Amino acid sequence: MATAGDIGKLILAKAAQVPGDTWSKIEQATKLYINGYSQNLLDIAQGVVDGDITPDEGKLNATNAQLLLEMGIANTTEIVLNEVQQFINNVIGILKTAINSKLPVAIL
Amino acid sequence: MRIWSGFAAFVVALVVAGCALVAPYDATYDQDLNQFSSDTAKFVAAAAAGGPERTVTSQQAVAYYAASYNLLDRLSQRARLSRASVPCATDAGLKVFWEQSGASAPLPADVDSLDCREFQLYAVRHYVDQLKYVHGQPGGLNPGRAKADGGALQTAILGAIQTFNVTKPQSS
Repeated sequence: MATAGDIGKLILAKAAQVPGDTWSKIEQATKLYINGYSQNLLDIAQGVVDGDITPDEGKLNATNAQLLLEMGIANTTEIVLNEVQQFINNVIGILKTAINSKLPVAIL
Repeated sequence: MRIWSGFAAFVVALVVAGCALVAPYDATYDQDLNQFSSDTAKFVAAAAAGGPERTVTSQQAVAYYAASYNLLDRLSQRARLSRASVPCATDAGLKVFWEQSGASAPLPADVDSLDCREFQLYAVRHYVDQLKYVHGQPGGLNPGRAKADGGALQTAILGAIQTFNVTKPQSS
């Protein structure tokens, strides 16, 4: 009778062979939100200096700018979830037969 | 070892359950949001240049906001129908921004269940709300507001496009 550890070894051995560029994708994607946030703060400050934006409005805008950072986190989450989904699809697909052979009945 | 066994069990459970952690790619969002970005750029530039768009009650402004909200309503509804099984970690954060002035519509009752694509659409909606809010202030959509609030909206739209494209199949 195979244990969960046996199945885990199969999965992890295959996972170690999957080339990963997840961090690179996150790093590239995050620039948009970080740079957008920084530029937005500069634009707000300039608008206040020029008299186009009131100081109170400037504070409101600066608070709103933080949502761009939250969007960056959401995008990073989507990238990670997609990588896990790909992992499941690819690795388990390859190992389906091997995993089934270790279970009392083939369920995959 | 216990951690790895747990991880393996988690993965097998997901496979057996057929869970979709992310929604499949759909080119509609990419195309519609790119068009929205283009329309927004033209609208904001016209307002900054002193055109009738500068006034929130102008025909151009009314048409722009009506079309924007209609688009976001439609895309949010479409995204809801293909919602992924995992809520976005940032969902709770939306409530803070919705407490401010200018929200065009309340957050949905199931806001804590939005997937990350849906979250991005609500974030874009917030920046449209804010653009409209400052547009209605004395002075209208002057160059400073056009740059700051229009710029934030553009970044949000591009950010949403980026998220919808995460699942885009790699071209071979």
